[in-house]
Amino acid sequence: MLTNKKLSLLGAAAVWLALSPMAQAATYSDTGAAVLIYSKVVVDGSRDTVLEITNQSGQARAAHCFYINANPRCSNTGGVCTGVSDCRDDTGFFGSCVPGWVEINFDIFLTPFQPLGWSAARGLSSGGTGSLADGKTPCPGGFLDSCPFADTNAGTRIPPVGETPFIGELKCIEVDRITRLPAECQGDACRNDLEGAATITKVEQGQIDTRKYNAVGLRSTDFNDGSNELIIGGAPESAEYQPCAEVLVFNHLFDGAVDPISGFWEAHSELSLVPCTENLLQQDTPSVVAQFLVFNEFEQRLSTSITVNCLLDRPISRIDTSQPIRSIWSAAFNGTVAGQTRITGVNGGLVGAATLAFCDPDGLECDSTVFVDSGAAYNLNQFADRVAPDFITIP
Amino acid sequence: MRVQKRNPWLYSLGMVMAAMVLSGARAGADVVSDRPGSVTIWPKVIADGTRDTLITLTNTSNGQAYAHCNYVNGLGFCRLSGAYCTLPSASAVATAPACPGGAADVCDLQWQELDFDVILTRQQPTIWRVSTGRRDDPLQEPDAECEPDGNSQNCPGFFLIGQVVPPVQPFAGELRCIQVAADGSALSGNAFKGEATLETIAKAAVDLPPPAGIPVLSTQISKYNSINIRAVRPPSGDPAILPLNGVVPGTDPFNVYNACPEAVEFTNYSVGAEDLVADSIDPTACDDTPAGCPVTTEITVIPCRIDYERQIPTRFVLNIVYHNEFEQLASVERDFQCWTNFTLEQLGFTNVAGSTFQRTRLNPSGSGLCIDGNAELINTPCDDDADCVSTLPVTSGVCAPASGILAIVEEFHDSDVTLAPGSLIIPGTDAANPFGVDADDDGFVGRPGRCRGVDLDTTSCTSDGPGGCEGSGCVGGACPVGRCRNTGVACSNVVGPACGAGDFCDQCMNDEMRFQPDVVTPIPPMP
Repeated sequence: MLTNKKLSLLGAAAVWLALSPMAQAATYSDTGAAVLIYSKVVVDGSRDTVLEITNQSGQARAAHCFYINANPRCSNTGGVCTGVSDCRDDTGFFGSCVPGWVEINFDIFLTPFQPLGWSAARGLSSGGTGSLADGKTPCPGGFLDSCPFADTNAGTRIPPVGETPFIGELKCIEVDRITRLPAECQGDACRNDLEGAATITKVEQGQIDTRKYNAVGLRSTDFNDGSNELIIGGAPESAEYQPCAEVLVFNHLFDGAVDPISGFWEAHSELSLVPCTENLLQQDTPSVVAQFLVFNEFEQRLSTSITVNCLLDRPISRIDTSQPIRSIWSAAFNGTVAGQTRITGVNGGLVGAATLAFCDPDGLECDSTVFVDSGAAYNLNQFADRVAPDFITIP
Repeated sequence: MRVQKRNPWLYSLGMVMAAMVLSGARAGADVVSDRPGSVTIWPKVIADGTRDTLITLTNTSNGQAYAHCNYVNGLGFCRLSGAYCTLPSASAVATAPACPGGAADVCDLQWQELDFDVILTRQQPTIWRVSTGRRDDPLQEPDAECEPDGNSQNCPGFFLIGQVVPPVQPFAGELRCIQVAADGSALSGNAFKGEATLETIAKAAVDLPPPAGIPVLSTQISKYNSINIRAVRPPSGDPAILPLNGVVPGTDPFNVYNACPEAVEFTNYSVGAEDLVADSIDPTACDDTPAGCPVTTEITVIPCRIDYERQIPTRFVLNIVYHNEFEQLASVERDFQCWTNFTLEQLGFTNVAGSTFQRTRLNPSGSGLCIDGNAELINTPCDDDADCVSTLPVTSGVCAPASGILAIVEEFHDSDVTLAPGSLIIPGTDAANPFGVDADDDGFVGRPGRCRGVDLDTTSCTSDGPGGCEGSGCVGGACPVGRCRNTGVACSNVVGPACGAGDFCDQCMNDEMRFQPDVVTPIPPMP
């Protein structure tokens, strides 16, 4: 339902669209920001995610954070599923595997310049040794605290993710310590003090494989009304955060391409996308159509589209088909090693991250038991600002 | 309770129109790793026999684009032991020296440059392996696999330039590509983006049990985005000098290329800290004491200022400050040159408090650097132009601001199997782009410049004109009268007089990249 406010903003944005030249995109993965989006958080039998959040400022800061559990669930059993085959009930009937979207939120209080890191599987609580290694906040407050007297993480309690396996997103918003809403501000008082990163860690055959990407940040503009509706981009007079990108630019190796260094490993990439717009108050599952333009080294162009419900996280050669060899991201089809994919959110902005894995060519989609796969995560590039606003609504 | 916003339609329209004039006022004219730019920088490129690098470079524009690229090999050799080294001996502590052979085993750092061109059709991605480079073979089958070609490789795809040459190896250094026109002059197209994939070359598993004949056991990769410098317009004075001076967006016609950040920082595992989750995922992976699963952090730093034309390796000073999660602080200051790669242990950092994470900030430090004047004073510290001359006229000395810096951070995750004696298993690796920091809290991440001709410490400037200068050395809120770069004659970009053709007026100075523009000439394909 569009409110009068949203209609007014959209109207102003339309004027902006007509008059404005394309500007540079204004979400950032390499500078402090007021909203951090970790687009892929994974916990399962062999993987956990180390989440980091750091205060760039010399003042204490607070963040209000949201885990968004995007596990698909069976319509009949309610269990976590990856496909219909997981949804067979006791009577032998199959339910459907439908996208899930469950949100939980919590607070983080950071002392000046403080880095915090925690395991998504274990969370962070207070008490005990006051050690991050033990899953405890380092400055819990009190006489035994080894931190400066006035600075404390008191009030910080990060829950473990809701279930295992878990696939989802983490969003952290710089807020006022009291209201848990963005601080009302004008000009330089609007802060961009948070930076974050996620390291997806896998241990297999005793060997550690880590994949680290920076959280995507939304920087504040010169104005925030302190309400629970965060306006991202759109008409400059009402935008509280700089806009999401119009186009995400994703460089990759095509799936199945042979690693030019070893001449042995096969490249496999995964893409994670989340919508910029999210209504965490009414728990509306956001839905954005992602349009992909894929270029190979011969300048040949292919395209496809998919709807991103809450979170898209899958191998690129399974975005457009269930048979990777037939995908437009398949190396066998494209014929070149490197590719570029431009991603446009048709009815909303998108942010994301990607991973590249080098896998045993004899394994089926990186599930070799002979070799330990190696991977790396990285951030997407972006091009131009979205003209229409996106909205994050928080409780 | 919701707060009513200022939302009447006409008011919105008016504000939109007004905002268009002011648009981007706080957006920042920054050096970035998530948007294409006109200069693309990969600070950490390795091809030393144990690691190799895949470079990807993509033209994100809808026209053909040309890049003039330069490798710089910053690897040094230890004077006695002959080992490779990557930081000056004087910057390392005795407990973790740059070279293994004691105090006399000094690290002699080199600075070896190699340049080449790349041509990309619209939206074209491309890839090459650093140790082999890449050659064009128009007859190659499009099978998504690169084929050996002597010491080089052919890969399927358009490769209009014909060849990317491999650098002399062992190689550890940086790569920069400048977007140029076909005539070799710098172009402000903001077309390029890239990535580097650092791959640890798997070791031969000759003594391992079946399956026999397996040529490799495992590998590890780290990947980071290139750092891209966006341009507003091409240089108008000397076409060989690219000023990295844009701090406040919309400062025209002053801004040319965006300025480097005031500082960069990242969060990393503290010295000696163990991986936070490996033990809980697999309790047997980190059993061995006392090692457990330690994480080592490598930091690669390069100066923003570079002079390919005169082959001067830029000296830079780094102030490194960390805060751990207990809010404890430590800092060191060290001198470097051209390119460096080090661990925190090598700089003497310890972890007495037993912290797990630290926020490490790298601040460019020092006052100024002589870039012109007496030959023996080039690349030495200075406060003003007079410090750069001993026998020549004062007007021939140029004291430029100390160089900004860029960095990449890489972590190595060991476990019992990688730490076992004789192990062929490789530690897990990951790389990340650091965050730019608005250290002076002025709303802009870009690093302000300094006014030419006065004591550099007395000014901080973001443009030549009024309102662009702060500090006791400013005159009426602007930089004082400047000097022409080549002739040293007094000049002003605001009121004149200007300098002659091929020369330009230095007032508010910042980092620069100096290169040799040359016509882009494709090499014919291999017969």
